[in-house]
Amino acid sequence: MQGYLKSGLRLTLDLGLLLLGTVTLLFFLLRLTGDPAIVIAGPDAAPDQIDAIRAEYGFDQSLIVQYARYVGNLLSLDFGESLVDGTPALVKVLDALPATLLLGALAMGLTLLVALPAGLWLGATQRRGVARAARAGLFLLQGFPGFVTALLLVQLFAIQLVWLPALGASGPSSWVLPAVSVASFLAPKLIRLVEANTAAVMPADFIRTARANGVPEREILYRHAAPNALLGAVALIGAQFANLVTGLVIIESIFAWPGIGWLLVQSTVNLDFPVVQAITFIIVIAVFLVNTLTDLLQRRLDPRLGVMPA
Amino acid sequence: MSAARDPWMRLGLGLIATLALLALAGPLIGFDPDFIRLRARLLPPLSPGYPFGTDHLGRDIAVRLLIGLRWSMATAGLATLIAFLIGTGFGLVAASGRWPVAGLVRQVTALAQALPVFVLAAAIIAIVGNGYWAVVTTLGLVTWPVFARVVAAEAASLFSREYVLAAGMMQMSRTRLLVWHVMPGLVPSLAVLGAFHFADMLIAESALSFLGIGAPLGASTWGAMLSESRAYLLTAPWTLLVPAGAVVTVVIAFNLVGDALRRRFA
Amino acid sequence: MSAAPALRVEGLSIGTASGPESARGLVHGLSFSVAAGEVLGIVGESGSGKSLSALAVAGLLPEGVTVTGGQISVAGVDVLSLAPDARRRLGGSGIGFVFQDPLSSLNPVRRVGTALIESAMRHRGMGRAEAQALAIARLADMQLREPERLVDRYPHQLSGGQRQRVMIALALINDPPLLIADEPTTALDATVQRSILALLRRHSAGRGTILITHDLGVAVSLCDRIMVMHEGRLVESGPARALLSAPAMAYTKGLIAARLALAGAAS
Repeated sequence: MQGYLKSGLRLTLDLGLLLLGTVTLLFFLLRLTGDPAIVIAGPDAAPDQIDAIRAEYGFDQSLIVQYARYVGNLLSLDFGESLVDGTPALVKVLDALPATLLLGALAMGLTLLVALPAGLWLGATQRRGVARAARAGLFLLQGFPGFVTALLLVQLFAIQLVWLPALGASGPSSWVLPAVSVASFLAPKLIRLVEANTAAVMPADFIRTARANGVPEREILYRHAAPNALLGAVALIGAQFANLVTGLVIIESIFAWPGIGWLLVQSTVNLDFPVVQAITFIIVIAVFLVNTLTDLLQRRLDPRLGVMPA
Repeated sequence: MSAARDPWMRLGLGLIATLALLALAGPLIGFDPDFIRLRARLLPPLSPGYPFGTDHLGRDIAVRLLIGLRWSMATAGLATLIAFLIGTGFGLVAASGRWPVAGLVRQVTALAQALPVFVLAAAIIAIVGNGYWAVVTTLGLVTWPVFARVVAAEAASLFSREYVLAAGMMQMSRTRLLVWHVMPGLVPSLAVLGAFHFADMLIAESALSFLGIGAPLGASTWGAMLSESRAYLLTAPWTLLVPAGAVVTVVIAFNLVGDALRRRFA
Repeated sequence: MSAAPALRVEGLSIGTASGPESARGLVHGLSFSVAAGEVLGIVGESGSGKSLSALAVAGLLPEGVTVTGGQISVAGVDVLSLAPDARRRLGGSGIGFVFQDPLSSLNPVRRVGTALIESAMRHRGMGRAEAQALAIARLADMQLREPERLVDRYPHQLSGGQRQRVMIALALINDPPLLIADEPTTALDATVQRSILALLRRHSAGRGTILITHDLGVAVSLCDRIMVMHEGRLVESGPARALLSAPAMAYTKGLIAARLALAGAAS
């Protein structure tokens, strides 16, 4: 129990530091262009509006005071109001969150469903021609930036074949292309990682023991090698989260999927800084959560206390 | 296999050299990409005078492709250079371990790694506005942890090896040790990382300009071309396929080189 | 009980598929047999081909190494002519194998009892509960304490000696007619070695046992017969004591002399 308490405290401290760092970063970024009031007010604001903002945020006061107020605001989750429609920035972000979570879950699920078996199989099959061809294919696929793949998929399935819709989030059929596109961001890298892990495990002595006891190859791969190979993969999946976020941002924009990524791009283009600020904050927290969770998961899954060498 | 004889390496380098030549030769060809000829809208590739066809405003796609090439190579190149310089610097400091700064640097690096590159880049450009320098510095400033991580790890191990040797043999100043012994040892990994990073920067930049972030309005970047092609996917698919092909080609070229270097040095 | 020997090997040759012609042969024309109830020791330096021969019998040769000639029969069954599936099934039921390093030979993320239970279920057609009971009984046979709790442990939670006992239990759980132990005690503490060897001896009744070792003393203390190998060939074989006291071949003499010099006294 005491161990958990200590870990919990440490995690909270880490999160706090991370958020503080992010907030500080945002604080200084705002001042990069000179007058933060203009950034927050937006390009179309009248001079008296700018002055009002300056007073409200306290930009006419000393830097320390400004910093304190800014940090206080952000940490109490007051991100200001959207410059586009006046709704509180945080509300806008939270409204868009479910759509992103849906897409993220679908994409991640799809990726794991495809990448894990593929990586396992490739790692165990070194010489066959099919494996070589698959590897070459993967290499090519990695050369396609995610959004290019998405566009090509749209071109093929939505435009030419008209099987699937090209825009929006209108029901299961509209989930397919976006989910597949995001998955294409993550899958190639993950497949290679799992493949490398599996290839490292297959020559192990305990695999030889299993063979010596008559275990069929298939079972060896999935029940003896896989747990070892995938143990290392848990950490890797967590590391892919950053890629996932990037993929979500771009793909949501392509498909006009009403999630956080789309909101981020819209807000960036519209110079709606309060919303951009809120989204950045949320994403940082999300990344931290994911990192922590994967770390915890890895520790729980590995019967040994340390991390297994690849 | 020696790097020079690896056929994939040759292919990759060959492609890159061709692209670099094209990029440099651009202005010499002297076409005006914004020469809008509405009568020549949406001509397919291999139409007379337009090897890659024209876009929705009648602009020669081949010329726009060339301009985009210059932009892409220039942004990816400089961004990689900035990330390389900052990252290597930070990495060396973190690896040296002696100075109290090293610990702080390690923390900063860890923090920077937690933030998704793309989100940060978008946020920054939202604040500072568009433009070549905005994009280049943002991408460089946001991605340096990649280099820092690798340099820190490698330099640390090199330091402990070389330093022990050198300290035992002669009174060598740390700077000399750094320059003459540690840095050369870093070259292989940095080369591999540089190649892959260039490809990543290229993809990131084209993604940003695809979304309308970073490049000045109306600039002929590949990302912008891809974005514009979306309205004409049914009637003029080449407006998508040609720039897409260009992006993929460059990325694959750098991936080939990176892979070949990795095989050579592993 | 069949009258055929537990193992008969005739003219076995093993080689690699690639590399210079001169270096390709690893084992040449090896012939020997092991009767039921007998313990045979195969002694030699590293590179003598003793492990490879054992691996060939069990069908566990590494990539690129194959049997290039000869015959192998286990309990009267010609092993080399079996279909791959049948050959695979022989492992665990016809041939038990104990490897040198029990830590790396046991899957670190699986409980120790699982392999035993699965092997019994696979080769004996037992249900899980029955197999579990058998596993616990066999672990007890290996003189492991609290076997019903041991079954749920992970390899890293056991000592080296305990792990090797588990490996032996695993090799013997389906009562194979042939047991091969390749350097079973080399990775263990000296204090533990004797008890493991004694364990092997105790369970050798009714089956053929092969003990592979580079240590002549170990071989002599445990085995009925010893065979000496050098550079892929059989040098000499005979009853253990006799070989030690009156070796016929120069190489064997050299081995004994070297061991005496190291140990300071005969066993």
